[in-house]
Amino acid sequence: MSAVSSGSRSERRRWAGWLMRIVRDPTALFGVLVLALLVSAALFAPIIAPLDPNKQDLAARLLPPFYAEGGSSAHLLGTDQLGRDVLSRIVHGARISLTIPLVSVTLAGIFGTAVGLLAGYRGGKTDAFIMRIVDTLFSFPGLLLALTILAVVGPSFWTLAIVLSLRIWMVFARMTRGLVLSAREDEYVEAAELVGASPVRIMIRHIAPNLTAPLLTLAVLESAHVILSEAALSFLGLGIQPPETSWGLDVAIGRQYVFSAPWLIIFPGLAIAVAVLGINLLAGWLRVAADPQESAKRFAAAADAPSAWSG
Amino acid sequence: MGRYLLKRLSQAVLVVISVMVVVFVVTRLIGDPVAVMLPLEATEENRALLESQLGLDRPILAQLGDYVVDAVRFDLGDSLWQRRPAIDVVLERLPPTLLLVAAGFAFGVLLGVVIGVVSGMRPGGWVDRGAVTLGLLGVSLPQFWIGLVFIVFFSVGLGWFPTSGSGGIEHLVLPAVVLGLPVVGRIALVTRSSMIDELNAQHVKDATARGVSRARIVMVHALKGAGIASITIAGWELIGALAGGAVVVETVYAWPGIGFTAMQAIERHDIILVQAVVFVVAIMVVTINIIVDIAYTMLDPRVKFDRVS
Repeated sequence: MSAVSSGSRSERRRWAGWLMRIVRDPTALFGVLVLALLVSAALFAPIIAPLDPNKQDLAARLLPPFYAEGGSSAHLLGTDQLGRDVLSRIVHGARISLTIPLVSVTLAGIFGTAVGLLAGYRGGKTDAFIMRIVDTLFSFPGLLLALTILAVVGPSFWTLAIVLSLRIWMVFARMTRGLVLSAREDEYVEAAELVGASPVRIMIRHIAPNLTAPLLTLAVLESAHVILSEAALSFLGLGIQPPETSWGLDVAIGRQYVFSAPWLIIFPGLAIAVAVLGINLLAGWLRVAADPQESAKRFAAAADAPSAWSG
Repeated sequence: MGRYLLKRLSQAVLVVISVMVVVFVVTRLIGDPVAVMLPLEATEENRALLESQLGLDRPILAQLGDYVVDAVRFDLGDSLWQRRPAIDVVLERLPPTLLLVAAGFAFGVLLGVVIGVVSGMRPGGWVDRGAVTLGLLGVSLPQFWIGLVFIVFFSVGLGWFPTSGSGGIEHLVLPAVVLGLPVVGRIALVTRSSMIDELNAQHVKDATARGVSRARIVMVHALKGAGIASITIAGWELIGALAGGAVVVETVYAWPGIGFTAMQAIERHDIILVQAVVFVVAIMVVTINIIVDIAYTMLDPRVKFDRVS
């Protein structure tokens, strides 16, 4: 990808090229489809979902899914202990699984990138100081500390989103710093400095284009982590609270019926697994596709690039 | 080496202190510990009494000072729920967690290395495809869900293992496997990719040319390189298992370790006990970090002690 390409035609061709590459690669295609499903479920939940996710029907409690004995097409994935439709709850649960990573990763990405830019560009003592803090935070007991904070502050959408972003901003800071440091070594940046371009101009014009692709890939990957963390925290009762719906929360509810109604556990968990799997696949593919070196490796060697999945 | 170790130790102490300061700031400044600990119907007198008992009516900096000094002396206050020193409760519940993490980790590393070696020897083969898929599933499936699905199939369905609790080895199997699954995936992927790199490396090719047997090449040359590469990942996984996985897995299986204790303490609004768990886990995390760094340096002669820092 060259930073100089301009004009709508080459832009369009570039997009078409990316689209072709996605369609040709089954893992990328799966990832994109999962993401599309997630986004449309979140956006159009009331239209797609057969029923109101909070509508109780005590006459239809703990109905099994359609394939099991006693199941019906009225409740395809069965009902919970209050007679609420499991499928409808899963469709509505997509909203949290999409909005929490969106908010957390955006917050963490902006803050982390800014800190990383500062460290990488200033260098010297600023860099050493910032990186010491970042390294310290990496040694924090993540989930446990998040649990403690949420228990004290009280769980809500925003506290959850902020706590989750506090756990991951360092990843963005570290990567940005590394990218800035290596970009500064490049000849065109040195050339720009020699010609007397201002630091801000160098930053925006010459360094920032090198950051976009890797940081976007990282954001996609971290979204998968955030979904898993949100699900785990909601499962433990310190994430999303009723009457809102979250997949992790639904698994926690189903836990009390592990003997009599396993579908209450299986389906919401499956939704988490598929969403995270799709996003991980997409992130892995993006990492390879956006990096010319990795790309060359992948298309030259018969073996699929394994590093893309090592997370 | 001595100076390096001293430097790492002082950094570790700094990490533990900053974790405790963060917990302090969150509990005392952002949250209201008294409101969290007391029942809703508590009167003003109850509040004042608890505040003076906990020293919360004193200036905040004095509180912070005392808190850090006490923590250094391993005095974290009395658990409100158990009415005895919180640190005692945590240390009592520590062995089950260590047993669980050790078992899960051993399972994860052993199986991960075996899968990684086998699949790295023949990239693109069916074992390899299976390994890559497994690795991907290991990092994508929510642990609490796998735990419950295992209960549905192996405990409720087949009746092979108890659904929860502790006791004999049969209680350990499911939680250890669930805790170890992400480790299997990640170790397998790292071992696999460094196997591929090592088998293509010049010194390994030279060894092949000299007529060294394939088994020896894999066991001695390639595996050593792969081992060095997986140590850092293994350390990260161990930390993740202690600080996150154990809480989730212990809660799912009612395994009486520190993770389950932390959740029980949170339910009972026992902030002091939660703090003690965080404190002990933070110490274990920094200790693992130091051990990983040292192991890495000792195994890889290219890394010098002074350069790591």
